[in-house]
Amino acid sequence: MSLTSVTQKKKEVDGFADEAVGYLDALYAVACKLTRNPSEAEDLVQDTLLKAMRAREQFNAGTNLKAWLFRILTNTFINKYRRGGLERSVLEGPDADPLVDGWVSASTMRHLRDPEQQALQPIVEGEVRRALDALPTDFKLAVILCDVEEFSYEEIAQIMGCPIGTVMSRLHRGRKLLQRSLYNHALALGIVKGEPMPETTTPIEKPADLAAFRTKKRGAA
Amino acid sequence: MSADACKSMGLLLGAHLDGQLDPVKTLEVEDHVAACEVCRERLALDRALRGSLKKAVKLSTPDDVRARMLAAMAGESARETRREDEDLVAVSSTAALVATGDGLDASADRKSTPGSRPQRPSMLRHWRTMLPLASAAALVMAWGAAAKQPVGRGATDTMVPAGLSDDLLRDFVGQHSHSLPPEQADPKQVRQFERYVGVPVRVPQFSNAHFVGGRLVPLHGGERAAMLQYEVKQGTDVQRVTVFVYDPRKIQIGGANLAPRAIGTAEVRVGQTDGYSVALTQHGGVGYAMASDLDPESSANLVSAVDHEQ
Repeated sequence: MSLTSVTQKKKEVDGFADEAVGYLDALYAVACKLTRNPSEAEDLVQDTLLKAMRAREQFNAGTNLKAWLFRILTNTFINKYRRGGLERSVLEGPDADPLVDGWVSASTMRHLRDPEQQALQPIVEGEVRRALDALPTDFKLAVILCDVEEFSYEEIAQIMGCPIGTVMSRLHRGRKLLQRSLYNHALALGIVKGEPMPETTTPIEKPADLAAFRTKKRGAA
Repeated sequence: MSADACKSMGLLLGAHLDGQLDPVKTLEVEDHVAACEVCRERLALDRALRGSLKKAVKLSTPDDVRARMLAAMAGESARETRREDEDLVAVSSTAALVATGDGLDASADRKSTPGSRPQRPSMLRHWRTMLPLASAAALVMAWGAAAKQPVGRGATDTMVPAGLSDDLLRDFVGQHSHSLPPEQADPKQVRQFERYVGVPVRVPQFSNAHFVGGRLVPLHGGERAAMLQYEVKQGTDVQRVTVFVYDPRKIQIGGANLAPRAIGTAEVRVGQTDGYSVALTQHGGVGYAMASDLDPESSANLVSAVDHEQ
């Protein structure tokens, strides 16, 4: 290989690295939320960036680099940290409960948010962080990718490697879980009045016996 | 507004907020929300939650983390370039060594606590200005010990094992069977290969072998060895014998089919690879590998005499 073509190649590599590093803040922020540990987050981001560089020929120029990077981040995180059993139990844990709709009245919800800024009242904000940390990984990831990184459902489906319907249900459930813990928090602080939402609700309707269905299905498989 | 209608809005409200609904559904949701206070409030709460989530998650990467990421990427890019063209190894690593003074600062940050500030944040802030610096830092980081070694040694990657041992034997045998003409016939000039090989390259003298010349050869994993070519007269027959001089700390050859054997005070390992006799020994911290058509016995005897310098 001649010197010029090597230089050319180097430029390409650097161009890619340059572009990828533009998403460093987003990758690092999400990695911090996923790992809940700055040094693990750093390792995760570094793994992601290096994998991306090594595999950059598989990336189709002109498509969404950010989504591609997040897919690598997600896969790396899941491969490293996900333990099958744990994730299972989470899916069949509190979130397998049917989510009760219409549990907070319009007036109490009004108390939760700050009418001036489109955010929750500062007093609830720390609780948002805590509630997000407590979410199961899949829900947390879906919520972060959608609400913070503003990916489309289709992109999230690609990143998480699941159908769009699954993305929607993870988002829905994730947000409901967040609202539920925020509501209980607001209740404890006296911001709102009402009955506390049980951490695990008893199924009101029958059809939601999803856990039993899954157990049965898994047993058959 | 009926509770059922609100219920069916559940999933749609979220998707509406995310701007993911088609126009028909969007109108449907907007109609419902306009008429239903509960859903309107719910939408507002979702929106507020979204704003808070953004605040909760968003953070900018600390400068020291950023610097390390850039260094790692520059290192990867440098490694790739190096793989692409072995001939440029010396050039790029010379650059790295020249810049070592700056590079070490950045790599030293690796050990610092997460919250600590890099020593020169203003220098590290911009990717474009950072790249050459980071490149140097990464090369130094990736090689770890390289910085502690003599400058001449820094040209090659000590962290990456130089291929599998059997590959190396094949490498040697391949170089022997398809040998290129020597670059240097003068043993004194051959000694100059030392700076590429990493160990002193002395030309061993064998009683019945005539030194033809030597050249540098690249091996798997970017290492180099000096290839010394000899001719051995057996009656009227002339046999070619090739001795490779290499750095045994970087190139470990442990082929399973090599039998250890003691000849005098020298320990020699002999075997057959791809039809050729192979004999290995070490003398004074220098590795010698010999490939030839000789029988294993002669091959072992010959290589055991590498300590006789020409």
